[in-house]
Amino acid sequence: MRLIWYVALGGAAGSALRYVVATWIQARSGGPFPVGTLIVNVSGSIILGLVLRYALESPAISPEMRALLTTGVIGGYTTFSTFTYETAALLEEGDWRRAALYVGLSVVVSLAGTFLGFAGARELLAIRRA
Amino acid sequence: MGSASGAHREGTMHGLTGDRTLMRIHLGERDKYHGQPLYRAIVELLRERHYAGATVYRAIMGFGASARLRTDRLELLSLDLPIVVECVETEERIQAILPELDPMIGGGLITLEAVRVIVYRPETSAPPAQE
Repeated sequence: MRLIWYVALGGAAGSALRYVVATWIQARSGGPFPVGTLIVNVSGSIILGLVLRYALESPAISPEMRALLTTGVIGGYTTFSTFTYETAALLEEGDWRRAALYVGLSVVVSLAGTFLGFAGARELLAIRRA
Repeated sequence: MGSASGAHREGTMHGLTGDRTLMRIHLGERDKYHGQPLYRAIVELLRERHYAGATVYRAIMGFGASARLRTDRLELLSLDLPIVVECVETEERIQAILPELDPMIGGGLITLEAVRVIVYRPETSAPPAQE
């Protein structure tokens, strides 16, 4: 089976997962700050960092499974375009403080999340080799 | 006040000027009636019954009985934006349509208020532009 089908399958699951998670979080936050998208992007960054780093260091995970989990599931789950849309909406209202906070948190915490994922992958690989 | 003089020319559906009732129906954009958008079903019902008119607004933010916030500022919260359907008619005709609207509307809000209609006429009967 061609890789694109694994990507499509994972993408369907990942975007549906984002819909559920982000809606659930946003409904509980109550406020106008896009915390749902933020948490989705941060958690997706952790998982992608972990899965991709782990998969590339361990031959046990096939390219098909990698395409499904990374490009597919996490690609559908995280969203850059929603992040920019919501930032633009905040800027349009002149709410530059929330916009700056959103951009800052998204970039810095997601990046930290990726490194956290790397650390997690290192731990998992150490356990595997032990 | 009474009925305005020039309003009853040919082409006017019926004299609506004077003390009337404004009905406002608050819905969600995704509310459905027999598979089609509920606001469209309501407008079509009012039009079939030759009500004086109806206007549908889509709002940019709001919450209702469910307390769920909707806003066009957030992607996922923009999927069920508030809709308001307005209709101005005689009190009797508004009261007559309410029993039909009730079973169509799942969650929502209907309010009535007194209004005074000043002008009601179709475009074709408008007087020539004044300088």
